[in-house]
Amino acid sequence: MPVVLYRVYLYRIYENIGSLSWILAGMGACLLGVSIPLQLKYARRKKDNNLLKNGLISAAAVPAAEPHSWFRLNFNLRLPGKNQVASFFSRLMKPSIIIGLLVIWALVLGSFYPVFLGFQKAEDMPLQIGNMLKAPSWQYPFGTDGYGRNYLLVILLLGRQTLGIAFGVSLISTILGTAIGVLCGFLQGVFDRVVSGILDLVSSIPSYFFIFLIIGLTGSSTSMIMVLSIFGVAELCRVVRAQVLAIRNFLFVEAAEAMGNSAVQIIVRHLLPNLLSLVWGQSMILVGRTMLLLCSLGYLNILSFPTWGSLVAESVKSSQYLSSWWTSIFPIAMIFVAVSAVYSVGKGVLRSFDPFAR
Amino acid sequence: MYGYLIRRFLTVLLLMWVMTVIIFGLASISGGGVDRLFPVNAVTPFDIVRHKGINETDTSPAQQYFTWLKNVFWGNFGNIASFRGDTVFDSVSEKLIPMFNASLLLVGTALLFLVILGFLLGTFAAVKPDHIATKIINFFCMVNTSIPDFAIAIILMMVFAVRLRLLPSSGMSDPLLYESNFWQHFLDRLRHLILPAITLSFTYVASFTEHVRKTISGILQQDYIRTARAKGLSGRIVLSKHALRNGLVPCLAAVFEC
Repeated sequence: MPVVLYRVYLYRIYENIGSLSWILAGMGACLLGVSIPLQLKYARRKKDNNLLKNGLISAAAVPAAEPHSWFRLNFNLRLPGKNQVASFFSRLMKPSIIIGLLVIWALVLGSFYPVFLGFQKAEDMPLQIGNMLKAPSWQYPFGTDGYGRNYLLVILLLGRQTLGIAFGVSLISTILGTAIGVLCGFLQGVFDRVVSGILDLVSSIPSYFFIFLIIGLTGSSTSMIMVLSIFGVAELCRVVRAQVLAIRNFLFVEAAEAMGNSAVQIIVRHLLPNLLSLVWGQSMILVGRTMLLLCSLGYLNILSFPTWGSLVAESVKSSQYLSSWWTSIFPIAMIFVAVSAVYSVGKGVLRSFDPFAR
Repeated sequence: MYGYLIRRFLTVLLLMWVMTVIIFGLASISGGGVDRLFPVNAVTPFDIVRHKGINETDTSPAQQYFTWLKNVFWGNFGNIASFRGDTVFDSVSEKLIPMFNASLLLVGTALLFLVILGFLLGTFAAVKPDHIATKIINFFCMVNTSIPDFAIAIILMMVFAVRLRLLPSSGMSDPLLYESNFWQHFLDRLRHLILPAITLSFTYVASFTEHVRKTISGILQQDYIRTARAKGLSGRIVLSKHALRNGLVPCLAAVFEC
């Protein structure tokens, strides 16, 4: 019983981690957007005041302090060498990224909509035999399924699992993969060789084969999620390691080393900010790929939780797709919309920070 | 060069050996033997041993593994057990050959389709990056990467087999075409091949097109292409003799990746 409880608990965490991660990411982005310009501004002012106190600059060079400007955001800071923050946000203002993010937000919020109606699972929705397989209409925008349920609500409900687990897997593998990749690229030597050898071995295993195997052996989807995370870690680690190796050769890292900065300082202040866009883009692409994989596995009906793929499988298996096209087309369309939104954000981020990406 | 080849060959051998160990280990862990599946009185100890594909004298896992490896090396993949009043064994190898032929036909056709389409689209997108057709190709690739492969199969089946009734939705040949000449059989096979081959190749055509486009557009920025242009060669000759020939090797590597 404790094992079962633990598994259910872990599964719930994975299910909710996606939505949680989004809320956290949104809050983090807001905090970052507020705090960094302010910090830069006040750091500059503090430095100026110190210089003024020591008589190194004239009082005319120091801008007057604005009273109570904490709530006012000023992205057009003209700080020499430190205006990366403003340019960071301005580079992200691309239609593909913004539309993609909006679509993802809409899907995430939409997947909570049935919860407000009191449906936690698709099984909670009442069976209405009279409503069976109704074509799309204003009352039922996506039609109804073989049990007479509103298909839009069913699809939105299953989106919670698909999106949540995909984002959760991506979050875990991004954090672990970035950490391991930075360490590999920065430390090099024996550690790098051993770890990247292991990860190369992992990434050379065919993922479908390995996932079937794990599900067949352990019978739980939680371990499958772990396996997905490990594959993601291998991929992220490879990309991050290559980028760290490239960044290490730049002069600013050498200068930071020459100034006596410790390894931690160099990693935190010089390597990680340069990796931010790459990691973000790659993790979004990983989300898309995980979503596709989850839907394929759901189509094969080997997961213990339903995804959009299992709706397609149900429609195909019961031959409903021959007469009622909406039972298979709408889940497919939902997969397409979600995955292409995630991909467009990821590729947009990668492209806007890599001038050589074609 | 030879040292590199030998090293690669040894790596492949090592990898294959590791795979055999993994597969044998998993097969022996996974259970599901005849003693569990069939009625007890229909299964003798000899059946169990025979189903596992080992000798009766093999007791330790290592011995069983070597027997199994020897059998696999000589093309004996063990037996499938089925229950028809009594436990009956059929050789896996004999069942495998027609399946292998069918897969080979399907994969070969899909690969041919993939290579032709990928090369055409990728080269066009690389040569004319601002053309409106290139934008259509990019959109097609985007759609293709974000739709799962089973969805393509279902949509094609719904359109061509169910709605339009042009092509068959399953099977390899029409059983009603029993007495007919070679060409009718050939066309029938072709009709059955179209949908699965398109589905199989569509799962990879986007990534392959992207790869070809990146390779060719990288080559087109090289110095020797500019030299060839400066010599006064026409764009078509530069493309076919200088760019495509150099792009062939990395693109072929990508084909094998698919």
